Amino acid sequence: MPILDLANAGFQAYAYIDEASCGAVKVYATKKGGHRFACKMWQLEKLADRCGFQHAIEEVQWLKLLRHTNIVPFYAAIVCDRHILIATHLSDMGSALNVIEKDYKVGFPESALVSITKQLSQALNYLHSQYILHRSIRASHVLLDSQGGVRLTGFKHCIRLNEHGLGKIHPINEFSEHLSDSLLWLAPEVLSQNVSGYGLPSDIYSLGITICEMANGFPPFTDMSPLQMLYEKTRGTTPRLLDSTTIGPEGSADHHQHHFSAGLHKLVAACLSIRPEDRPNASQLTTTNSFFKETKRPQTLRSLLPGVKLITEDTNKLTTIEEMDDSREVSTMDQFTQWDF
Amino acid sequence: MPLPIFGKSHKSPADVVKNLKEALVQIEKGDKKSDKAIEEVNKWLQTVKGIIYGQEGQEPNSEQVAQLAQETYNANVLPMLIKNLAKLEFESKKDVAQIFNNLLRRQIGTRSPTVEYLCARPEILITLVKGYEMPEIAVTCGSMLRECIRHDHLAKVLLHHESFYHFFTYVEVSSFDIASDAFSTFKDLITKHKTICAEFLDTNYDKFFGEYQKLLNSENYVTRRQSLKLLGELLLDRHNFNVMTRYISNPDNLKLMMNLLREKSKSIQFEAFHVFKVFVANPNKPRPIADILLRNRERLVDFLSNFHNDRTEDEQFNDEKAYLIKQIQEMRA
Repeated sequence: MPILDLANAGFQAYAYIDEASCGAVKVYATKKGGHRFACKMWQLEKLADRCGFQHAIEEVQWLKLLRHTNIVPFYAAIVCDRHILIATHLSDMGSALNVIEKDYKVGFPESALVSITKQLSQALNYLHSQYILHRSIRASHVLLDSQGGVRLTGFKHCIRLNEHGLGKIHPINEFSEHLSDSLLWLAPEVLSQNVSGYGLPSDIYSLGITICEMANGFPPFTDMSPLQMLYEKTRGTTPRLLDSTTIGPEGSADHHQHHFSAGLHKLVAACLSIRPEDRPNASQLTTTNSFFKETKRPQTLRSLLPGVKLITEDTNKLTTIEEMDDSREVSTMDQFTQWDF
Repeated sequence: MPLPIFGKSHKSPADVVKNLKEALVQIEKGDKKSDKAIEEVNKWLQTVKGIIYGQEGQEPNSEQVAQLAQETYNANVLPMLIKNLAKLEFESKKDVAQIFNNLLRRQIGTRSPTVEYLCARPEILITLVKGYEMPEIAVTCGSMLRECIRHDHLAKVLLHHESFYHFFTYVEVSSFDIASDAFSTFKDLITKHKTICAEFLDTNYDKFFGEYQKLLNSENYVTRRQSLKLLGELLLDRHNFNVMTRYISNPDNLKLMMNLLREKSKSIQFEAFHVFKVFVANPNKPRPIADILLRNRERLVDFLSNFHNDRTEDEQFNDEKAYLIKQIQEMRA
């Protein structure tokens, strides 16, 4: 893993990838050697509330603590003007959400879904074996690399379950306000905030929602108010993959074109079981044997999702080198008051 | 004696610690065998974790844990693990921190045996502080340090050791991940145990605030913002009354805050406000402080009247602002 000496190497912004909740994600390259990397810029003045700043710190600390093939590799974090730049490996297809929005509006083909699910389960298995709960599994946090595969990101909501060294994994009840940016993906037991709390299986539920999101082109419950969504989830409504077998004639023609295998339907239904104990665990999901036959040989995401235009191929975007501009955030107050000392 | 409950491993805690130590000795020698030894350490650390955390779905066996802890102290394995931390595998480093932190929390009645062990060997704590100088172990050492600081005895040892002042460098290093970790450790050190901290700040006022001033003037935005916020918290803590009185009697400190009120960053202005208010609210302002405020009376009133007017929902802030404006207006020469 190359160690980026951002503070001394010098680097330039090349292309815009995405807008995250805290600020923009862009492609950067070092001035020397042109080594490309992704960079998330936390605009600290925007995060005027003190907890936003804390999130930046937590995200960096988690990234540093995790090392796995299916977790985005962390390179460096520096302060630059009034921003924190977090440099990570560049996944050249962007996030699964980017791919849905740009190139696969009605969802991914099954072969891609199976491959992504397996790799995501490996990342979850790594986290869960250390009793770390991700709490924010969603397509926008699933990064895709044409050659390197799936890389999980979005660690700012992570929490460790056995902080106090107990053999049994105790459920937790923590529900901080900031979790609410992923309401659609959260498991019913997380949302209901009751005494029995939640644990590792809640990530599996979010994985199930994410598979639906990637298969259908949008996350389930999108059309509902949060309250209605909560009601539907807790009464046991399980979202499904939309294809010719699950939607009636009134469904969209595009989704009628889909034919997902019985195995994939079964897998999604299992992940979305209302009772946490009925869901498969991450380790069981890493081998999907119980759902369908293993693919003969592993294929790259490039071949599984041939319709994707790579960020690095998008030459229009790669031409501009921009300066960081946050002039809007700078105080408009009279800065010319001079004190008389 | 075989211990079937620990699955594959049939080793007693004594054997586990003995094997761990042997591997660590190999690593220290640094010869050809050390690669193998690094793997060995990884394996034995897993076993140790299995004993103190219990296996899946099974509470740890307290007798085994007690034995393991005792063996760890007897064989002095903790200092060896920390000394060789940088050489261990990525996951092993985290295991060391987890084991260390777990042992620190262990209590027998009111005694904390690991705390007593470390109190007698302060050099271990200092090695942890120095860990901030090595990027590959900085954050791991940080998590162990913060666990130590929860115990007042250990916090005191760290505060009163000269290496405490290294933190003023660590919080400013260019890697944000390390600097922010160092800052939270630094903050814990000077805020966690109120009486110890107040006494420390009072006796070491000049040296401490001499260094602290550099943080407030740092080129690094994050350092400036964090240190300013922490300063506000320190001064408003009643335990630090003496420290506050001294701080708000120094006209240079007032000038610095008035300049920070005019920083281009709104967050810094806001944090500066929370320190500035203490100078104004002081009922017994020393002459030099009162002079500065009087000389700038009109400008301050104008300035504050337009200060962060968009914060309409923050009632406390608006009350405080109104109070400051009134105080300044009513000042008499």
